[in-house]
Amino acid sequence: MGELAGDRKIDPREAAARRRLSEVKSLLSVVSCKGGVGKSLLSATLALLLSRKGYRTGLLDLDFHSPSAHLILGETGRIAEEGGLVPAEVRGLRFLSVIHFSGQRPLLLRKGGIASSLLDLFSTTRWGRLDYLVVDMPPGSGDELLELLRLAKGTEFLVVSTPSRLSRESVERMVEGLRTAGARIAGVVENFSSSPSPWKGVRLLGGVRYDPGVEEALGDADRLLRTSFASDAGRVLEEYLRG
Amino acid sequence: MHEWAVAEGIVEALVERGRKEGAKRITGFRLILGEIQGVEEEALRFALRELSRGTMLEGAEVTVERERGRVGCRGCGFEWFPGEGSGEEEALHFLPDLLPLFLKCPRCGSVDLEIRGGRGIWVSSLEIER
Ligand SMILES: Nc1ncnc2c1ncn2[C@@H]1O[C@H](COP(=O)(O)OP(=O)(O)O)[C@@H](O)[C@H]1O
Ligand SMILES: [Mg+2]
Ligand SMILES: [Zn+2]
Repeated sequence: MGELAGDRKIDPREAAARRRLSEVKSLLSVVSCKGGVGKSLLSATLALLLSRKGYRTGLLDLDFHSPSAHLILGETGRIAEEGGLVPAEVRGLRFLSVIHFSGQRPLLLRKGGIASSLLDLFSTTRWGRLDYLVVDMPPGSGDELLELLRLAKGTEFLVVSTPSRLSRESVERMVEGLRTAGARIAGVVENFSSSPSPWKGVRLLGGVRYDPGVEEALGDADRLLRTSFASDAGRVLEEYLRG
Repeated sequence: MHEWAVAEGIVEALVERGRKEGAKRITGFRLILGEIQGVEEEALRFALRELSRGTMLEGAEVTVERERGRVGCRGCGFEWFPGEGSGEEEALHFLPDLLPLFLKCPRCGSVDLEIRGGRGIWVSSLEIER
């Protein structure tokens, strides 16, 4: 038999991942180099808004160390096994998170295992036909981001920042890095910001104000959509959809 | 059945590779199954047979080799083979890399564990007819 050299060995999960993702028209990955800037809140809200507009929408929480989407949606739902992995249905979204696998166990995990889990997830999940799959990413530009970029080359990145220079500086650098890697950038969202100042060399999709009403609305999707956070996110979405 | 998903990937990847190599037929291949991946061999073989019908893979002889699952403790260095079915948990069927969440080092109790063998699925050799 013809032995395949190390780099020519065939991992069937890669072809499976490509095929399963080909059913998803647009992948939108919400990223930032910082944590706590609103990636998860924005991802879940954007997914809910897209679904309300009639788009078939999925939400994938890839933050293995600190999954949040289920808390924002107020429900985890159940996954099923049928010709692969069938995501949960929550509030009209197809939803998948590490929480479906880990339950309440503490998430002490090394990065290597997480990157490899992305390949398993993408190769087995049957999203079915989707208009949008919103991906809530962990902070940083490490393993998960690079693996996502490798497996889902067409994904667009929505980069979240705060107005602080501490965030802007590293987000600018992240955008530059993503561009170098050949990634598509949808634009930047400035969160916790009442009047975003212009960004250099990257499209500003809009600002989102601090909204003290958000905390009370966590876990209640309908209520969340009535907050000023959601209306700001809605304007960001319109800007994004304008293309 | 995630065996079905795995088989789909195998057929697709092999047909693609076969085309690139100008093959008329793929007559055989060897598949390495990491034990931690939790793939059931019979179910996989069945899915492969069904899915390869009408492709250049039809009738190919499939050799399956298993790589044993091996877990190491970063605390005390102990290494052990958790064995098949250490994941009664359904979760591990899909995300075998989460195995450390469900284990503790049998020697020191640490939860800082890493998988050192038996992860992944790959085709290691291929026989084609031009
Ligand atoms: N514009 C906002 N107004 C009020 N609270 C917000 C706003 N954006 C985010 N938050 C809150 O800030 C915290 C961090 O947001 P989160 O989405 O978890 O950030 P990340 O996913 O980037 O780590 C959460 O408690 C969230 O509810
Ligand atoms: Mg988050
Ligand atoms: Zn130990």
